[in-house]
Amino acid sequence: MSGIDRNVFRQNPAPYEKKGTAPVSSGAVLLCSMAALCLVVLNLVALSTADGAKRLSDACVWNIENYYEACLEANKDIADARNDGFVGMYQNTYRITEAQSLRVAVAIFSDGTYEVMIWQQVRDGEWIPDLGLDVIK
Amino acid sequence: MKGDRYGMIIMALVAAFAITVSGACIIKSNQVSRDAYVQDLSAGHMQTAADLTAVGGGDFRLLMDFYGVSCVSDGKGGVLVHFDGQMQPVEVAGKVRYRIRVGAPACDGYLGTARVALERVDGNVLWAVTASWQDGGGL
Repeated sequence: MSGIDRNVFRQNPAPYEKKGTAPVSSGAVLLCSMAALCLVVLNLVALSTADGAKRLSDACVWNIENYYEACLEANKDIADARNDGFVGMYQNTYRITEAQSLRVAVAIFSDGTYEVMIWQQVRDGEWIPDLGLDVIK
Repeated sequence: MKGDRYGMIIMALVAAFAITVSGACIIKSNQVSRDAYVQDLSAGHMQTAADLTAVGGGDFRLLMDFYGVSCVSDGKGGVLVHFDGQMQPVEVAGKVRYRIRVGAPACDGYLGTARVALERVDGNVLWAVTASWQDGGGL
């Protein structure tokens, strides 16, 4: 059998010689990279949104913690006043946040008993309007 | 041929990077969202627990009456209020995901205090406040 006869079914031998390596065009690489980038960006946006919600929630928790901290300070001072035999109206203001305070007024009597007259969270910070948003024009 | 191989490698690397970063982002954002959700929902329960303890002067009867069977003694002088993943009070142990632990009341002269903490079921504290009151002599 001559060489021509042997190769009669192998007119295009290239696919058999490159077994296992599919051709990858630069367009496919670019497309894949863009898809991956989109996936990453979308997930980062989701994380950023979740982080914003967590910051808001943290601020709420921080306010509550500060309120109870102010109550504790007030109760400590009232207890000290009662221990020291103070008689009369005990009044003080305790800072909760930059814009809020706890106002306390307690009447302490000579027999050591007391009556709470005012125990109130009040807003005493400066009101700074946000003029950066064009809500109504 | 070399160009094809490099193309495949680049594509595989980019895909692996994207999958890794995306997976990490998804896990982190789920965790952050869940923490924020639980913090928001727990705020009211925490205030209720702290205020009822303070109003009761360290006596947990008001708190136990309010929460019923989901409020139990912790065996150390404090109480536990059990909640599920949606911060609803639950009594079945298997459904408990979070709990509010009100510690044993402490008295220092006229000052009474108790620590109120929100915990995961594994004991990890998410946040806490200190309830305080005047011990005795109130009118």
